[in-house]
Amino acid sequence: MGKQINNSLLGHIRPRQITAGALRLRATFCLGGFSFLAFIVLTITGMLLLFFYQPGDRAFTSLSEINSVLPYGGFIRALHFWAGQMMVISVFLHMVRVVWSRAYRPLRELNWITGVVLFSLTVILDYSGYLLRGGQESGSAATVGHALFTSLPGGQALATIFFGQPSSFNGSTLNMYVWHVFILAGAVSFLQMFHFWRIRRGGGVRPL
Amino acid sequence: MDPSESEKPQLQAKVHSGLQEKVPLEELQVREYISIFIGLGLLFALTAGVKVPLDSSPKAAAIGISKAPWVFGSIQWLLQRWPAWLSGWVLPLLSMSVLLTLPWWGAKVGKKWAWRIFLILSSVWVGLTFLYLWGEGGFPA
Repeated sequence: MGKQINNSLLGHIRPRQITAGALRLRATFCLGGFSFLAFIVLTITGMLLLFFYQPGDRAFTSLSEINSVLPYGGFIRALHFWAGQMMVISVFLHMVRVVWSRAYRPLRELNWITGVVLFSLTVILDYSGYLLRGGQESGSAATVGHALFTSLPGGQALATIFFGQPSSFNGSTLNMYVWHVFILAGAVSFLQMFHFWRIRRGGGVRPL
Repeated sequence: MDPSESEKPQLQAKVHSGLQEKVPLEELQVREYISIFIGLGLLFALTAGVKVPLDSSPKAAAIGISKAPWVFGSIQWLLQRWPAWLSGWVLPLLSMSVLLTLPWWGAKVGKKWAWRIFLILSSVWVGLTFLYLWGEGGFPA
């Protein structure tokens, strides 16, 4: 049974042996790993918040209930918030490390591009999560974003697809909810798996 | 002893020593478990130690703010001074395209200049973010 697992896909996700240099802290500073850990925490806490959060007009009310009425609701919400902020910071620092160690060189260009796209999606996820808070601050942030989109030719349609119809007092809409919970999060999940596979295919972390 | 036989083991030891030596995956996994504990500990400490307030209620009196989450603070700072097409689209997209094409122009300018240019670009955006936060009076949670 153990041999079958080893010979299966699960057994090949990670190599059986790695280079000793990859064990050193300064090979990666665990930044990529911490980013993925933050994403897992975000996914788990996000799924828990899904049970009670309601987008749109009831966004602020549902968040207030999660924060003050639901047992551990405030903790889950705060953990989701901090994991999000730390993920943005760790992904940025991971990018700095990759440039410093020149891990973008051939044949890793595609993985570098994937990483930059992941960074952009992480930032956009942070922004969309901010809009889902449903208060006046999120409303003003949505107004700024909406105005940026409408400044483009044909931007009104794009703005409607992305933002829906936010008010200046509430940035939470069903559109933004779908983008944040399903489309953007799904894209990040898929690209992360591709990113890890490319690292594995490229021979893993190169010792500095 | 045959001289060729005494040379072979030493040659193999030289090739596999140092950073290129192969070690079992378990060595890395132990370090990863420790890092997970430290990472989760940091997250839990932040969660327990720093409150995350709610926004102002949409039903409350309007407070008349123009605010952005800190990740877009740099763009917000630029938007307050320059036209939207420049601050919101041209500069961010230009920076993103410089980042995306780094492997190609980095090979042309050499590793020192690639690092310097990347550092300058990142520092500008990070600096603008801190400028925005300083103007807003702190970290807007």
